Amino acid sequence: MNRGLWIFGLAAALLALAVGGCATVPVKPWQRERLVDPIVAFKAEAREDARKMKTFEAREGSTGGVGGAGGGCACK
Amino acid sequence: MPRPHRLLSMLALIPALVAVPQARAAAPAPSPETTTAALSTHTLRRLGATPNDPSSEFTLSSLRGRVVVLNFWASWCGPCRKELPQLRSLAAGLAAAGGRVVAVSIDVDPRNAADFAQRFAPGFTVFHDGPDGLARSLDLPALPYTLVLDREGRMVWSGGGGDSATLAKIASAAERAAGSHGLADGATEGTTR
Amino acid sequence: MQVSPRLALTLLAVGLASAGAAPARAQDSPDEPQVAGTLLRWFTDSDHVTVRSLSTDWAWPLAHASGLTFHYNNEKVMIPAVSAPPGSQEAIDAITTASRPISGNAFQDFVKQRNEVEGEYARGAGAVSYYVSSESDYLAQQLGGRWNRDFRQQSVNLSLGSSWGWDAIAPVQDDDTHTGDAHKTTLHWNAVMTEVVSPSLLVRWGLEYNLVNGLQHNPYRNVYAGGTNVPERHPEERQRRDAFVRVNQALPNRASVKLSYRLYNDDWGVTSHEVGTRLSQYITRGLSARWEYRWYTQTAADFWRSTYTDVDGVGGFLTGDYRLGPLSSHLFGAALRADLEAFAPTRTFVRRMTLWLDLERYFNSNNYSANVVETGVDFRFP
Repeated sequence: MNRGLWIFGLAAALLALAVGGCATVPVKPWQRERLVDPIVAFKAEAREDARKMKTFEAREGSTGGVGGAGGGCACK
Repeated sequence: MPRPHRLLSMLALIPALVAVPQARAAAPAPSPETTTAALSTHTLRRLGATPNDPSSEFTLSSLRGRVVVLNFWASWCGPCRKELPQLRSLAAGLAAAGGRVVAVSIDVDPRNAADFAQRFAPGFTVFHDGPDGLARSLDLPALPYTLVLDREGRMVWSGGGGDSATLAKIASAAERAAGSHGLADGATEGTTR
Repeated sequence: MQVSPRLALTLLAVGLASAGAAPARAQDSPDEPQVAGTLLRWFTDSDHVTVRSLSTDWAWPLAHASGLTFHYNNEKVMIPAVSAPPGSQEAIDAITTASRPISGNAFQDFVKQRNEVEGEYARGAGAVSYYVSSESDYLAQQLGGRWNRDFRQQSVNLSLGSSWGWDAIAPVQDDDTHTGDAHKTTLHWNAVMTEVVSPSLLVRWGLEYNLVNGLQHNPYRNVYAGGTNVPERHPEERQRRDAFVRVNQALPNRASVKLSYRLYNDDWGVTSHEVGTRLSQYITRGLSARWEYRWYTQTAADFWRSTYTDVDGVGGFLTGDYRLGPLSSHLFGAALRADLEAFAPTRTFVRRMTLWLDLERYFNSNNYSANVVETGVDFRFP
């Protein structure tokens, strides 16, 4: 598969999903308790994921999968 | 154009294309009519009370004649950490003039709310309602969120946030709601069950 | 493509500008508590290599929507001595293909220490970071910038990040390869979108790109090719990209499942798939258990061969690195996490602590396996 096309296709899919998300109703602040629970939230395992990525990079031939995403307060 | 530059250009497009169609409008505040109707009959449970304690539950309608600062918070809400102790201070000031601060947790588990209140505002009487009570019926647009009710139980101010500027606005709104008569109008407090 | 310092400075300027231009919220004090954490990690594998990591992390939220984070890690790696009898063909093969420096010390354990420090300052929507890792033959540094924004009433978050890394490689004396000093640079970009789909579902998508230039082979390793041993040779440039999706779903009865998939591809011909799953369950309030499984598979690099018949390898490149060959692996893990506030809410000191213990078993298709034990504690102020 042409690699440039592969990359572009993924970028387009990501964009389409981002725009497509407009159709859903935003989740209200008072509904977000479960999302900030450490067993659900992304933030709780961010350090661990970064450590594991480095371990896998030292043992395998690929990299990435963690990203550098930020986040807002779950209160609003 | 070299391949890496093409990829970088595509990545740079993503935020622009996502941002353009997004409305920046905040969630609407509850309307005064909705608020009055929801609050008039709703029962709140005092945290830490035993089930058989007759003073464990009360309705906001029992506070008619007083200015009420109704605040919604949760143990998982970051800004609530610094707001709760400030509400305790505000409550002391309002109580002297007959007003009342009612701080209501929307936690699913009241034990989490009790631990949080004990940690940040020990000795402050707080209430529990869960996420499916007033939070749902008022469709709170933010957390923490505060309503100021006048002596007739009508909402005269609402807003979100837990910083000192917001607390100052809350206190100011309570003073305005009281007008020249002070924060209470001779009504008795609480309806026991 | 050579990465220019001007581009790196541009990245840093963007990060600083984002951080500085973010409107300061009228806050008296931060919303989140300070957290300090310590972690001990013990890694052992089937080659009897052991790695002991002792790290500390500190998160210090500040006023005006800003904060500092600091990370320090001290790592001690022990590679065992060649176990074959001295002078035997097995010992000679082990020495010539070794991945660590050998200079009269083949029959002694090789111990190396690495120190790693990372700091990040975040303000508003932006953040800048600096990373340095130092060991006897490798100094890695990295400058990074990150920007993120919320949309749709904080239901969607878009994050863009970039970093530029520059490594100075100074191989210690080695009997076989005699590699001189070298450099490596890495330009990294990422775009990540996180969406709150429902009150119980989070989804994260990401794209990442790396452009690596410079020394990318092991300076101590020889490869048997054309009847003799020649130093390993990899291309000087590598474009690496990956796309991933992560789904976190809260389940009834205080449980959750996390699923992830990553597709990776580079211009050396390596393509890989990674699928991960984590299942968590609260045993009691404040105490949770987690089970983890990860599956990984990759194809070989274009110039990888199990046996090289020519000293020039494939297109001038040859590798003895198993990580560039066909590979698949499995990881099984189990962890316990305890938030002590649920057990001792009135104990001022104890209630601020979170403890965890993590056990992992890893093995791959090269008859390689490893065990990892990790334990740590986080402390909140207050």
